[in-house]
Amino acid sequence: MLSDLRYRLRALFRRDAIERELDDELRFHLEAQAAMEERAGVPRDEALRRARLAFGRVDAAKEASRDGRGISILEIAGRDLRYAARTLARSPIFTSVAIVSLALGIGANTAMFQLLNALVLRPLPVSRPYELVEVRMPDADLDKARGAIYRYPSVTNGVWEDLRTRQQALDTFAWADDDFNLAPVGEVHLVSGLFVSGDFFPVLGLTPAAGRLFGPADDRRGCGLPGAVISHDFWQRELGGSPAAIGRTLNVNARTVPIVGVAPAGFTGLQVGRSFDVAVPICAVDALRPGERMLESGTAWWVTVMGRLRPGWTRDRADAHVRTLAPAIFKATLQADYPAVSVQDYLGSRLETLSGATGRSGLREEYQTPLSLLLAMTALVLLIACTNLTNLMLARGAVRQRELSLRLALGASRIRLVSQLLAESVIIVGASAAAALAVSQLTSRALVRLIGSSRQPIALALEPDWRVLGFVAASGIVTCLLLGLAPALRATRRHPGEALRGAPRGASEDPGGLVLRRGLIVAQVAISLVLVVGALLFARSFRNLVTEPLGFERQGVLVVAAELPGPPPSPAAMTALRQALTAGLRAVPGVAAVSQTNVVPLSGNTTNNRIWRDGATRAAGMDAFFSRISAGYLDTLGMRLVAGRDIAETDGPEAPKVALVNETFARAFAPGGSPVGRQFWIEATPSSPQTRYEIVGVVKDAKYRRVREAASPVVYLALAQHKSYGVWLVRTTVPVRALTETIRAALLRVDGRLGFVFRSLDTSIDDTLIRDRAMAMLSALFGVLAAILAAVGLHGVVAYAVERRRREIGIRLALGATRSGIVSSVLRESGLLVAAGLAVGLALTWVTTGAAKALLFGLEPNDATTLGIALAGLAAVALAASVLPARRAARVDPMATLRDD
Amino acid sequence: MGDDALAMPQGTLDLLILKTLAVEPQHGWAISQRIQVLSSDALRVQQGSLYPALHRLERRGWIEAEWGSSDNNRRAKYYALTKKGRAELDAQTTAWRRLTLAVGQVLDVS
Repeated sequence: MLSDLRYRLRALFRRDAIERELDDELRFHLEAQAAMEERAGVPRDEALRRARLAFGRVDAAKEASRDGRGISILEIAGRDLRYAARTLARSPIFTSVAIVSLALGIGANTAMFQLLNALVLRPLPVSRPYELVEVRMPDADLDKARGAIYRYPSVTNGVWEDLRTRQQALDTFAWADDDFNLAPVGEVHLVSGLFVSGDFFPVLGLTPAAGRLFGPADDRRGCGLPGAVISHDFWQRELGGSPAAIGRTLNVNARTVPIVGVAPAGFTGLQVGRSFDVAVPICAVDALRPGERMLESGTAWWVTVMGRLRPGWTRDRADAHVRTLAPAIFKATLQADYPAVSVQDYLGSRLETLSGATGRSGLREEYQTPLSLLLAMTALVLLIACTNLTNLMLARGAVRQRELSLRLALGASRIRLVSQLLAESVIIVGASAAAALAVSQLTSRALVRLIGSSRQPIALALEPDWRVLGFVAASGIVTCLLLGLAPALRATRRHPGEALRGAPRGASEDPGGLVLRRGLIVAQVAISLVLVVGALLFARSFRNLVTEPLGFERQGVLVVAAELPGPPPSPAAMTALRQALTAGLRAVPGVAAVSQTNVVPLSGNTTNNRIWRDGATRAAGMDAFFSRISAGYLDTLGMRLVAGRDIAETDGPEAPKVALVNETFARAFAPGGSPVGRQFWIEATPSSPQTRYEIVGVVKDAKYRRVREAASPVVYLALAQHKSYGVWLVRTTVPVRALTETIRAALLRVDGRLGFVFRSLDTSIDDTLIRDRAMAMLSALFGVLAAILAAVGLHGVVAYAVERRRREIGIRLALGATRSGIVSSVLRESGLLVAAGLAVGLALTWVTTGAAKALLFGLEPNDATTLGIALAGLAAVALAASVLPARRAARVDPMATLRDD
Repeated sequence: MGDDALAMPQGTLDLLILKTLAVEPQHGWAISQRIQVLSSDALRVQQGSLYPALHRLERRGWIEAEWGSSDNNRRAKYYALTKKGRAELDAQTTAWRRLTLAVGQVLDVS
């Protein structure tokens, strides 16, 4: 077996040497035979003749020897490829058009797949990722949790610690992400932070690139801020990858911490799409978020729990185990300050497991569907490009018709001819696939930059792995078959006799497969319609989102967050500080209004609670969103008061509790009448008891959490009447950029130790629509591309048909047809094709656009206007594509064609 | 070709080549002569079919080839039996003897 392989390889690679050897061997034989004859007295010439006679046919022997070598298939394939390469080199325009368009098509496709792969399919770069499991509360139970929920899903630190000791199925670890401020004073410099439990690095099986990683001994209550582990990226980027980085101190949230180690290259945390910069033990949260009591609180939900299955445990067994432990865990972790009304919900919370091999990702939930749609779109564009190329190849096949028929007539096997023709497709697709990898690398990285905002750069592992390479290979094979098979089969199908007889005369001949080409055009137009409709749907949806009235004035508003480093000062000092800051901000020239709130609209932060009418029961109440505002908030944001009065400075801590409500709340609370003056209760929260409020005003609905969401009931309470703090909203009369310096100075004048960050409200709102903008742009690109490709294809087919019917047109003109009559007949024929394509396309659209329903805003997938515009647009493009060849048909000189016969 | 030369059943050429090479390495011409001589001229190998057989046997690893110089100092390709080939020779010889014995027995029944 091995000798066989070695023999074959040697035969393949040293073919010339082997041929020479064979020649030498046979020549020696003949010489020896001749010499024997000569010794018997035969003269030299006669001896040679007899020797040859005795030997038999030398060529047959050589051939048989060669066949015995068993390398024919590879040799033949090599020969085919070389021949195909020479043929392609002879028509450089076709070859380069084919390779470029396929490279772009396959490349775009692969880019989408790369993103999907990085986001959804790729397991984490840790050891044995498929043993990892996440332990979480179901969303339905977390929705009922009281307190502050920092991320979905999560548990409290108390639940984590209890789970860790109680369960047996997993080697557990926990983590939580956060933003850390690395700037000691002044404007904050936020980096991605990670809190990790002591077992995090050991269980994941990671080894440090430098220094050491945390171990169980590093995560003990009261640890302060013992050390930080930085990511490899951060090490390279900020510290030049120098070994001296170990031991250097970082300034994190105004505390200093030494760097003890660097995480391995390629490990960016367990959240796909987000890369961490600095990691500290979970116990360090007391140092970095002083006064918030994140470790002890039973109402701070912030820890993600994962684990590695212990030997002998499967995920199902672990799931059952964890479920049975849940009641005990929640019973043990219930604290006295948990709102009484929700205690039952807490005790009834469940735990479940999920596969953790691909980590967590909010990005994944947001982008999985759009990316899948984009992948489908690029596949369709590739299909259209392929059909165009197939058309071209059919035309080339027609040109070589005679040669191929001759070879068929001479006995060539059809399979051999087909594989020879396929060799051309193989070369084209092979070259394109290689280029496609490069295209997809560039495209996917550009897309990631497009989707990430400067505040949240997206980190995805985009290097090609076996899945991506497999995808390119599979696309290549499918494309190759699509591209090459039909023309090859077609070109070798013809009855040899007909082709050999000469150039076809009648209109019934179909050497280039006009029927097939027309069918392809119908398919192209149909697919283009789907893509154009998709593009229009996403574009209009995005436009709807951007022009959706928000209920407030988004431009010219700056959001300023400021806080002193270290443990929070006394409430009195805090109030004084905030008053000074507000005054300082107001004093800046160009500032028109300043107010505060603890929920910035459309920031994704929400607070909600249950309310009920005074005199009614809690059960008869409703849930509402909340926002605490200061006086002047409505002015700052340009919100309209429709009844009653605004929150005033006089609504202080000692004054009666007041509230503003929005119209949706008013309609639900007091249908048909005005709610002003009515009272309601708000359910107790961990930080405040059940309280009664009086409605003093009604405001027009304004967006709260997302642009896409319809109005919900919102209650605006006075910031001063609760011990919460918020951020400042600053309305400026001059462009915000001009004021940043003065505002910065004003803030620092109040207290030089202040850390602050500001962002434009406008930009923040735009950032929430990044995904929709990207979808609109990309689908528009693909729609336009599809239309162009279909137009090009249509032009080609119509031109070809005109060319073939030259004679017929000449005759018609000679017999008295008008030129405009010719033009309209050509246009009519192409019009039929286009109409057929649009009809099929409509059916396809009906079936496929439902997939985009969830992503659209303000319109349905089968929106009639959109369909109409798409139909009209494509029809116009098709008309334009047919006009040129139609006019060329009209310019046919009847005398010339008749003479050409 | 001699009219009275025997027609050889399929596959026996391989066996003859292997046997010829069992004694010492030889080149293709010498092999064909040897077979003729050893069989008292009854077997004349179709010389054209010798070389495909030799290359086939080489491919299967039963013989190996080496270029050397012949008696009159010409370059010739010498074939030698390999260990595998020797084992194959024994196996095929045993099989052949068994076959001919069996066939002979049948034919001897009058």
